[in-house]
Amino acid sequence: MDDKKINLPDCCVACTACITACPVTAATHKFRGPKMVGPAQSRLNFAENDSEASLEYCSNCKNCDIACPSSVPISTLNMLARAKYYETHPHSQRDEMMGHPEKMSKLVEKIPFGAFLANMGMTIGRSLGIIKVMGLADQRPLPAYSDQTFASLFKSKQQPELEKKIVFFPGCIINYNEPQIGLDLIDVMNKNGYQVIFDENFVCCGSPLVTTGFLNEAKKNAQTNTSLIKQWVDKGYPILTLCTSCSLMIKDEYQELFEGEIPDMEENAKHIFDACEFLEALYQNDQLNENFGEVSHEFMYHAPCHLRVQGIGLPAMELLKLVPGVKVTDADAGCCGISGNYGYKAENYNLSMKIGNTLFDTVKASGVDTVLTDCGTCRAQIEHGAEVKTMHPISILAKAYHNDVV
Amino acid sequence: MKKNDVIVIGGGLSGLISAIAVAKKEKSVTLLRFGLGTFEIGGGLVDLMAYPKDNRPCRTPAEGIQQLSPAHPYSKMGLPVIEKAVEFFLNLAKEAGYEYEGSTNQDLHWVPTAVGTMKPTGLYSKTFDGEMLKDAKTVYLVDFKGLKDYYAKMTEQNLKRHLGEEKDYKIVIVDPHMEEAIGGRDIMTMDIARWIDTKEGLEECTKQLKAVIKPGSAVVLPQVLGTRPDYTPYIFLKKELQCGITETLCIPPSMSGMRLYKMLHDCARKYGVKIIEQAKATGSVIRDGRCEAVLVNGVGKEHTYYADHFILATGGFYGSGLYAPSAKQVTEPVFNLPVNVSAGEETWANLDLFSDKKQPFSQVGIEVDHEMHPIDSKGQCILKNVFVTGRNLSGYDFSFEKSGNGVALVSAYQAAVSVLGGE
Repeated sequence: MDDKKINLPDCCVACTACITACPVTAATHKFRGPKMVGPAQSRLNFAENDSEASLEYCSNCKNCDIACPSSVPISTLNMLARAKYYETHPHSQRDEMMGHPEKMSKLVEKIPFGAFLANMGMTIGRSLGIIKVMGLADQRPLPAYSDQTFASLFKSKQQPELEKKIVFFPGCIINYNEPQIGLDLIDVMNKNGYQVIFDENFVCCGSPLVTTGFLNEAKKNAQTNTSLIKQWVDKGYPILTLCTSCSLMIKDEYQELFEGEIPDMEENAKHIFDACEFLEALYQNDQLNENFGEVSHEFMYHAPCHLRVQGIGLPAMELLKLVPGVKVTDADAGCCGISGNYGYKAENYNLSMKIGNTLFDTVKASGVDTVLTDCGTCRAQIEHGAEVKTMHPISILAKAYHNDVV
Repeated sequence: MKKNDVIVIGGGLSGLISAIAVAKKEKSVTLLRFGLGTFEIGGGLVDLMAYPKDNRPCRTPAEGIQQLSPAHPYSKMGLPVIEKAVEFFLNLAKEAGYEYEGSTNQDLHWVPTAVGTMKPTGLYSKTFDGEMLKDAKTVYLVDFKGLKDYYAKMTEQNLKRHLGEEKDYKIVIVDPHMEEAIGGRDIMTMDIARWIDTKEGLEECTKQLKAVIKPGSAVVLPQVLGTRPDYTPYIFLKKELQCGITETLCIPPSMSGMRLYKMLHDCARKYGVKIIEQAKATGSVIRDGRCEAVLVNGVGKEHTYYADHFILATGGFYGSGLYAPSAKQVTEPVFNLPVNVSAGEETWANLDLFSDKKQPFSQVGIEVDHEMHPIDSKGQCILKNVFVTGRNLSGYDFSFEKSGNGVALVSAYQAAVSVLGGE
């Protein structure tokens, strides 16, 4: 029915389901909404190239895609239109920066004490008003750099020699900001008889490039990652990520954006897993190591939109339920509002917080002190908006295997 | 391989109802959904039966149901099951704090539409109080500044024909202060409803209405009394204005549909139904007349879901539960069940759009027995552990009969009863 996903604006029956589900539409009238900006505008573009000014409001959160009964890849139509716009319009310096977290991080990495200085720079920058001048929201903290990258920590991480192996695709956030989560994954996988391979040649998945309209660069990243993944897939190793936006990009959005332009994407996708998705599959096949120690704590879980759109349910919830002592409730309160770099832009800050409000209220009303979620920018947003701690679910599993306490 | 007790395929009204009914009996249920179902286009009313044969309405749904042919899904299930299903739904709504009213035995309930016609229904939320219009001397028609595709003047003209010229009709326009929409997105009932969801919005709207509306009148609003299954806006407005209040049926997105969706979604979660979004079932594993698993074409890879029982609630052509690859053929993609296309393609449609006959294309669907098992042309059960519900079924024209959500509800209930072995 939908052999080629992306040329489907005409499959839109204008039922408006997407509009009811769009969190940006709920927060502002300035956005004309997914139906108008996506499929309707795409149809018009067959006749005449035109850009829709309110397209800038789309956060690529993909709630429209989840609501659509007709398989129209609405958000990707929006991202393609955005890329088209930037073919003839210059990017702001801010968007140059936001689109390239990896480039920024690599710069920081090269400077001695780079992470320390960059983090201090961000604090000083804020107090001097530089952050605001750059077009970034100065009300929220920028993600702090870790003093060691996952790549460097991996080298000193001891692992048993195991027959079964998985390849870890770290993504920018785990590599540069939260490497401990990557180490937790290694522990969890080792406990399940898998040795973790890390391929230093992986580059940023391209998600921030796509949302800021750098499609050609995203395509280069897609080519690099796809050919690397292909080599691992040929060896029979699954690819795991710890970021639902990375996994969505390399599984699905590559195919939507570059179908027919890059080989092997479809075959690769069959072997790419979100970490919790992979572990839940082990559980379903009675292969998961269920020797969890007790973790007596009450959590709330937030499902990232980019997980929900993957059609795998909420695997982290299923796994967390297996840990003795863990009490976990699914917040089920919609988008957190950050959508990658979207909420970091100064002009989107208020919108981003308004979108996240239902979630923040739900978290606050629950009284929990820690929210679990699989996405790095969701964690940042929830910490900022709901004023609680956040963790990746894999860290709870690692703790449970260690019989540790939170 | 771990296995569910039940897999429900489809997240519309019949999918959610059957999942809840089974999960309430402590069975493990996974619901696979793809898209929002027809909630936001179909509205939140549960039509039971109004036009069983032609364009003359029956007096009560039960009376209409008794006039149906034996091939109609209602006739297969029978009135006692229909009554139990209605009771099940009413209890569910009550438990969720968003009571519905109506029954199979009461006179049809007539609800005003946005264009001022009256439409019959069966089960309805309190915000659709069409009955009180009959006795009102003054009818206020509320419009909102900037609201798209809502014309109180037209509502007034047509309502006069149904309710009588002698009543006093007045149009009131509320300003929702949505200046941001100028040059942006059109204002829909959803936007007004979101405004009324907020305390400030509700109070401001009430204040503006109170300044004009006299107590003891009837107030007709577009579908704006909140987006959630919560009567707070309705109760507050009714009390402040001291008037009867009714919403009208409007163009999509339907707020009452969204309320019903939220109510059923929350209820499904409460009873532990595991909901998988964006999961499009594309095939199944069949062995010895039984289904072992359904296949889901997920993002990047195929997933297999095993269970003892399967409920098919994927809808009709709109929900892609039925698919017509060509004008000669209609297929059901998940189990490849035979689809009853009663006539040739040239007779699919009755070209007289507003004729007094049901449309043949609308009755295309899957044949079932009284337990909702799919059956072949000889009446033999095809898959012992599969049950078919809602718009997947053949033999009814929901639009003509005004029976859509009713058949979906009752067949979902029957499927659940069959799964539970008559418990």
